[in-house]
Amino acid sequence: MSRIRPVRAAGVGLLAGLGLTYPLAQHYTSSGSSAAVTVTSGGVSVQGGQGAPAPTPSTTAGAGAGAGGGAGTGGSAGAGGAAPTRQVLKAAGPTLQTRYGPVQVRVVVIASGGTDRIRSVTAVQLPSGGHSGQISSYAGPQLAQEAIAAQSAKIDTVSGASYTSDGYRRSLQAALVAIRAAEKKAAG
Amino acid sequence: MTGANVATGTAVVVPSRAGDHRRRARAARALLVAAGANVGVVLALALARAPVDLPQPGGLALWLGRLTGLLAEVLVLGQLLLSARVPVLERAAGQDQLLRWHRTMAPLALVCVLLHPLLLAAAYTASGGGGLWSELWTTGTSYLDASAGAALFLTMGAVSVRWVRARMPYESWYVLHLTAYAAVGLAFGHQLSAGSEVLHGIVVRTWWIAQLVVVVGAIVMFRVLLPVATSLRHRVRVEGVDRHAGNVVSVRLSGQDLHRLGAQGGQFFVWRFLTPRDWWRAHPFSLSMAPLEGQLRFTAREIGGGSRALSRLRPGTRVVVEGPYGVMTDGARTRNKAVLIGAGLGIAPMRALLADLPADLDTIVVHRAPHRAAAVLHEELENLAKTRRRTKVHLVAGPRGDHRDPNRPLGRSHLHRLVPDLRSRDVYVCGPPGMAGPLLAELRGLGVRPAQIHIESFEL
Repeated sequence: MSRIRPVRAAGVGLLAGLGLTYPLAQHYTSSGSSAAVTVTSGGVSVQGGQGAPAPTPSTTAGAGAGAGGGAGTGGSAGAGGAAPTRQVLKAAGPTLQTRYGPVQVRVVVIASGGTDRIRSVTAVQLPSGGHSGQISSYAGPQLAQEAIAAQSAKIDTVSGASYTSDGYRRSLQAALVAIRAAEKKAAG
Repeated sequence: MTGANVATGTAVVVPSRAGDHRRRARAARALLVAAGANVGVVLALALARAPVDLPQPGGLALWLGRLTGLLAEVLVLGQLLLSARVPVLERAAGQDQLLRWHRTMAPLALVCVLLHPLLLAAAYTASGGGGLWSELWTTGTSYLDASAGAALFLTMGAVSVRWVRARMPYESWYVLHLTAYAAVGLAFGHQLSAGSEVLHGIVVRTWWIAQLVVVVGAIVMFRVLLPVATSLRHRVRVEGVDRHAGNVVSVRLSGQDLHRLGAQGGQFFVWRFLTPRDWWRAHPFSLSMAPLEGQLRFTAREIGGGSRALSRLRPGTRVVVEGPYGVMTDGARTRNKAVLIGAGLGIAPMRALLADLPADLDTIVVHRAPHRAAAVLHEELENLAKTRRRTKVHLVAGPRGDHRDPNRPLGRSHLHRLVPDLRSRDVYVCGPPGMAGPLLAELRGLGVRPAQIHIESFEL
C-alpha cells in the first residue's frame, strides 16, 4: 500500500498553517489586544460647573495628549480670570488586563474650593462570564463604595476578588492622577 | 514440497486494486495536512502573542503556559478525530494504525495538560503573587472546571498506561476512557471563558469553536448515526453460534442485503449485541466469512468479561454493527501472488480473505497454532484450498522456540523454506503482537518491502 507518513504530512500542514496565518495573527493581535494591554493613561474631560466663569469646551484627551487637554482647560480658565468655584472632572482609567479579564474604571471628581471629592466610581469593564462574572457583580459595587469612603485609590481588596481589586485600584489610581494633572494645568 | 514450483505456472495477471488504495491514501494525507495546518495556526497565534506576553514579569512562563493550554486542546481533539472512525482514514491507514497514532499523541497531550497550570502558576508567582504552590492552589480553585477536566485527563492517561491497562477489566477502562468527552467539554468551556485574552475576537473564537464542532460532528456521525443507520437498514441478528476448541466460538449472523454492507474478507466489524447485559459493550471481531461468500460470520475467543457472553447468545438477538473496518483486503494487494500468515485467531480474517482473493491467485496460507487441535478453522481452510487451483495451506504447529533461532517456527530460515519467493508476494499478517512484531522484523530482513506487507495486530 502507498504509505502515509503521518509525521511528514502533519508537519507539512503545520508549516503551511504557521506560515500562512502568522501575518494574519500578528495583525490580529496588534489591532486587538496589545492596545488594551499596554497601560495607557485615561482620558480626562474637565467640564465647567455652575460656577465656571466661561463655558469651557469639554476636552477629552487620550494617552499622550493628557497634558494638552489640561492645557486647554487652563487656557479657558485664564480667559475667565477668576478661579472656578466648582468643577466636575471625569476621567477614565486605563484598561488593565488581569488574570480574569479586563478592568477599567471611570471616576467623577468634584473640585470645589480647592478640594477634590470623588463623587462616583463606575466600572466600565470588569471580568465577565461564568464565575468571574459572578465575582465582578459583587466586587464592583463594593470597590466603588470603598473608593468613595476612602476618597482615594487606597482601597482594600475584596476577598475572593484579589486580582480584580488590584486592577481596579490601579485603574482608579491612574484616573485620579490624570485628573490631578489636568487640574494643575488648569491652575496654571 | 515448498511453493517454489507454484510460481512457474502460466503467467496469470490478476489485476490488483491498488489504485483505489492510493486514492484513499491521498485523501487521508490531505486530512492529516489539514490537521497539521490547524496546529500551525495555533502556533502562529502563539508566536504573534509573544511580544505582548514576554515582556511581562514571568513572561516566558506566561507565554508557554498559554501555548500549552491551546496545544493541549488541539492535540486532544486530534486524538478524538483519529478515533472517530472517519471512513477515509479507516480505509487508508487501518484502525490499528490510527489507534497507534492516537496512543502516540496521548503523552504529548498529557504533558501539555500538566504544564499549562504549572507554567501559569509560575508566571503569576513571578508577577508578584504568593509562592508557587499557593498560586497553583488559587489557580486550581479559581478554575474548577479546568481542574476537573485535567483530573479526568490524567486519570485517563494513568489507566491507559499499558501496565495498568493490562491489569484492569476492559470495561472499567472503557468507561473511564469515555470520560474524555466530559474532560474535553470542561476544558473547552474553560478556554472560552478564562482564555478570552488569547481567544478573543469573533474570528478566532469562531475558529476555535469550529474545531470542536467538526470533531464532535465526526464522532456523532461515524460512531453513532452511521452504525445505527447501517444496523437498522440491514437488521442484523444472531443466526447461530458454533463452538470450536479452546473457548473459540463462531457466530453466524443473518440480515437483509448483507452483501451490501461492503464487507470484504480480512475486515472486521465492531459488534454490539442488544441483550440486557451487554448492550453497552462493543467488541471488535474479525470476519471469518464475508457476506459475499453467502454468510456473515465472525470467530472470536471468549476471554474477559464481555466475550464470555458469546456462547450464550440466542438466535434472533439484534446486533448493532459498526464497520466494516480494516485494510487487510484484496484491495491492498500490489502483486500477483500472496502469502497469508495467521497466528492463533489471526487465521480467522485470513480464512475470509482467502475466499475473497481471485480464485486463481497463487496463494500460500501459513496457519500458525500451538498444536493441531488448537488450529481453529483449519479444516475449512483446507476445503477452501481444494476448490482453488493455486492455493497451498501449511499448518505450522509446535512451541514458539528460541527467538534467536532462525529455524524456529516463522523464523527467518523457516519462512524462507516455506515461501521461497516471499519477496515477490504480498504478505498478509494477522496475529497477536508477540507474533506480529518479530515476524515483521524477519520479513524486512528477508527483503520484503513495507508496501508489500499488510499487517493487523490488535492488543487486548
